[in-house]
Amino acid sequence: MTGSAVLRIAVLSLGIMAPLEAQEDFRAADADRPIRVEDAYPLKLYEWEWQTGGRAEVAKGGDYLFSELLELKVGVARNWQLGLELHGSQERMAELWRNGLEEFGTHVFYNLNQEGRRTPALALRADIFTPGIGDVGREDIGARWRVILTRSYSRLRVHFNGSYDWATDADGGDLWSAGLGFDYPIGLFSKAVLGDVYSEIPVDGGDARVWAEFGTRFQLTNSSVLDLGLTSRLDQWEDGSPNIGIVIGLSRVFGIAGLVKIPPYPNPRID
Amino acid sequence: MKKWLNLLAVLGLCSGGQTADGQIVQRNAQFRLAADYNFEFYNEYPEAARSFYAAHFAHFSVYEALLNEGPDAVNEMQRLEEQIRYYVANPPRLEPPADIIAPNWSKIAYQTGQAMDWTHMLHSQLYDILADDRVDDKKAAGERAISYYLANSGAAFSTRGYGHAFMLGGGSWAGTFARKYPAINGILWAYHWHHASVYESLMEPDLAARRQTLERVIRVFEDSVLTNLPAYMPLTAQFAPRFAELWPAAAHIFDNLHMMHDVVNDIMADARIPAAAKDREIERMLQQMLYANQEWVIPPPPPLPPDANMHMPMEAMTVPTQLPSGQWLPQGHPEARMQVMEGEMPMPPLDNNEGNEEGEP
Repeated sequence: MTGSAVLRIAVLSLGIMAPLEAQEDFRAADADRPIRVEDAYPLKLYEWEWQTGGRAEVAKGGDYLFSELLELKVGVARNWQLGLELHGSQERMAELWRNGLEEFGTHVFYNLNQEGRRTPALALRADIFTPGIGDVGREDIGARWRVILTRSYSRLRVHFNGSYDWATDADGGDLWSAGLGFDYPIGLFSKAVLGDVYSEIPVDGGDARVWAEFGTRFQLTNSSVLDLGLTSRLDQWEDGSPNIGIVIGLSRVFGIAGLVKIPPYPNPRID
Repeated sequence: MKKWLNLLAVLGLCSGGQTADGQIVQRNAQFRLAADYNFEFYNEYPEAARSFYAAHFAHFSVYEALLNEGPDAVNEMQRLEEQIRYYVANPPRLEPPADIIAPNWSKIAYQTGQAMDWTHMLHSQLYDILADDRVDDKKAAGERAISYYLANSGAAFSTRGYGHAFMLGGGSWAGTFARKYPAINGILWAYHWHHASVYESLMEPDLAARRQTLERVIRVFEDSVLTNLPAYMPLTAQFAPRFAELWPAAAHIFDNLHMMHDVVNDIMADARIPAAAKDREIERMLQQMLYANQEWVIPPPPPLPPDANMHMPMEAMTVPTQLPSGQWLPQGHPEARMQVMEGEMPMPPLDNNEGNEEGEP
């Protein structure tokens, strides 16, 4: 991706910022928003969130990959989160175009504990992926287990993700993955910078894939967050030429009043 | 399934997010009540909404400073006071979350921080209801919000009128922060006045009068209250009598939140309490002030002079009062009955008085 294209998208993204109000969502390190590593904290009980985003990567020689994500998540119980995802992509490899819905995903996420004085927060996440539609669609059902740790050092938070993916040979086979990321809030401005290094290692011994990513999250409104980042596939640098992509996304949290059971006013004692 | 849950519990224990008593601390975060009025206060009166952000910063940055620098952080408190006054004049565009202001303190007192945040959410929703003229039955909407708040009973403050009981008599630490850092303590008490006064401004039924009163409150707060700091912690009903009559339980919830802020200040500022024990003392006090425990808690009696706060005006010493109509007036309401006159002031233990009469310590 050219420098001017990156700059253009960045300027457009900044242009939709508005002086609205605060929430804490700008600090949530969600997977792919904009870095791959995520934090160990789920949505709050009764909290819903949709997020959408894209990742555009252009490799040397004109190969092109654009992948999109549409996700809906909900805090279904205290410390439990459920999510549904659609992954789509278009790619051009050796002048051949392929596109389609890559996969449908669903996940369950459970946070075991809040970070303590000396020890990290721990969460477990399980994903199931079903076959997609089109040229790039997954062939078979797959699954992933992930362990997530979050530890803070003053305002800096560090996240570790470790995963195992089950996939048939048609979908690339099983793989291990691990990532180390961070987020850091900027002053009291409801903005954060994030970064990570993430690697996928095929179990059958193929070449490892390694990404380095850096980005930012802005709280646009009381419930909307814009994320913007740069990603680089480190194992595909050729002759010192970086393989760089851009990540951009938008998320919004909301509640659904009709789904929340509110007890009648208890007329509590005040004396 | 049970086997998996056991495994999760073991992993949680190993990960160490536990209290000093070995209990796992879970996040247990709950989303605000979904409603059309949400954020109406901010949208309609952004200057008033943003005027509270410095208070939020002040409370949590005091905790963080006293944890990181120790109880005798005189220079840090002076620096902090300058910073707070800067944010009073130049509030952030958005409200900063507590865990970026006090990241270390949030780790040792997560449940207390969560209860404070949950109550700030109720603060916001009641401001929103009063600011939104589309809400026809404000009393019912507010009671619905209070019900939702109280249903999260592990994070909801008591609806009982504890007044100043715990901050004056909750422990040997009582009053430490106000004595050591009177200036910054006064700013925090000024903000309690501000909270109540903004509520009362929003009780004006006419939009123009509401705007005018709000503007006056903000000016008075910045020009007068912050320069002549309160000598005691104001109670909500003293300065928001109409608001407190509408939702007496909310008035007490907010007074108890404000008292808990003071209690944490005192515990953090008391050098006699080791750093490693502060979380236990904060947790002990939180449990006494939660809604979930209010049926069995007996608040401490007010201390005798000279420890009693002699700056308290008479209305601050009123008690919750039920009118013949069944309506309640919360503690601090100007028309509520007096504590002393009605014999509500608990008597001190006899042995104390006897010792004093004999001239012995």
